[in-house]
Amino acid sequence: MRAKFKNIKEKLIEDLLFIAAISSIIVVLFIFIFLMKEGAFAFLENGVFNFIFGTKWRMETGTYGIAPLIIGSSLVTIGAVGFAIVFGIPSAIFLSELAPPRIGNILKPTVELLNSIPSIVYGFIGVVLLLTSLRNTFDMIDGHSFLAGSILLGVMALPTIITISDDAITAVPKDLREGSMALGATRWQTIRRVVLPSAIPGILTGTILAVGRAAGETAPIMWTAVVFTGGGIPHSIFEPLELIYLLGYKDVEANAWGTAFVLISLVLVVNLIAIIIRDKYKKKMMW
Amino acid sequence: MGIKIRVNGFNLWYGENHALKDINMEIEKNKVTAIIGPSGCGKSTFIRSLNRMNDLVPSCITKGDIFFDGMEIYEKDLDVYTLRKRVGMVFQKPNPFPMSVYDNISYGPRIHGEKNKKKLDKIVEYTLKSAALWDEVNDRLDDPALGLSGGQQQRLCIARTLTVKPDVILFDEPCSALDPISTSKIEDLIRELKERYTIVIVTHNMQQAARISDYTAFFLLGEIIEFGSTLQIFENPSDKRTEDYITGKFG
Repeated sequence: MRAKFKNIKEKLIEDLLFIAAISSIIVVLFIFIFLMKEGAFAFLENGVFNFIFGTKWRMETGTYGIAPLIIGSSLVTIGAVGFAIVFGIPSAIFLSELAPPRIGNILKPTVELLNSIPSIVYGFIGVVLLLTSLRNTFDMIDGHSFLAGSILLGVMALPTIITISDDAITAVPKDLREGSMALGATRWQTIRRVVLPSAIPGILTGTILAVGRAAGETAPIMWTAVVFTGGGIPHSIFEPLELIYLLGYKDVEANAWGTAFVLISLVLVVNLIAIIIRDKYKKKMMW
Repeated sequence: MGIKIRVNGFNLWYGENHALKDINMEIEKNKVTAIIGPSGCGKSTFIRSLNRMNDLVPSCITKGDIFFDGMEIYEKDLDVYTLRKRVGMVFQKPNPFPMSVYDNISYGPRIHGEKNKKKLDKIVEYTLKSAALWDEVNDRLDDPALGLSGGQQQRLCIARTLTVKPDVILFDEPCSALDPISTSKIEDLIRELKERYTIVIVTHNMQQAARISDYTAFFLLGEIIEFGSTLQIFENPSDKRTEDYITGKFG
């Protein structure tokens, strides 16, 4: 009797865990299907090619192309992640390898705290500090630009990249470091040639999440990088962008849905590629 | 005959913990010296002192001298990277890098500035042959080292140590994670290697010490209780504690 009861309990727990695991997939799937259904009109009406690659959005003529929005969003995401990588990875190396415990114990929670600042606060700081200093430094009219957006989103993505890369580097076994040091390698040689390559899968995970964060932010970017219409494709880092999120403000509702569908597809594809690269690397090294 | 390493009144502390107490020992060239003793007796700490791997522990303090070829290795301006090149180390758990077999072996020469591909190829072949691994891996040098068996990984690590041309090789319980067949391969290898290298091996396995070593030191609680020829230590120990340990009365 008791064994039977135990088995039922085991089964129940397994089922609950399965439901928990699968529910997030179901939510994503539902959003995806919903967007596809609502946005189908945009593709049918405008033509798939014209809608995605068209550069003009004119209500008067009824032409709706979202290329500038896709390019704008992609650029600012790439810029932000680039910024976050350039500043984040060295910080992570410092925190995990070089910082004395006393300093690390202060710095790490501080970095994590940065992650919990609401994005609207970043947006506000961006407008007040970043735009002002860009205006003063580069003689720009109002500072709204690709550059401003990239820096601000990059700063916001920093904690994610730092925290996860730091964990990935710290998780590299001590054995490997010792193996390298015992061959007469210096600390830096060991970090660069053994520790970092071993931490790459984890660092890539951090980057994937950072892309998600940068691509998904709205408030700060609206205030610092965006023009609402007619921006087109920017020619320099000092020009503003059109972004996919602006569709909420634009006229035909189905076009907004269609654009949202394109956005979510883009994010999924980028993440998928990163995940495939990461797993290939892990498999190749049997790591 | 000749003394490769001379340890003179050497003491080591990890913070408050006095881990090595007044160690005196001479390690002879081209011989195998085994360090035996129960867990926590300081054997690993001792061999890690010989290539200054203990420097990586922040709270570590030392007193006394260790001479390597007459050179005091705890001298302030000693180049510890050159020392570690000349005193190589093989660890308890095989620790190949997550790279290809080839990259693992060529790692040492590359960090010391060797870029010539032909020379690296030669070093890879020579050291893999020396470690009795060439026949098993020569057709998969580009495969990941972590795909090899545990015993192969350990021989790979031995080969990797040989690439930087050490004089001394320290083995820190190299077989404790291996099966008996892999263990006997490593033991054969150690016997061959002593022709060209001076070997110090820490082992938990008394039979292993008896099988492969010329000299044996028995450590207890951070002190050397007895040091002499392996034959003498195992057949006719002069200290009661040594006898108790090797006959299995404690451990």
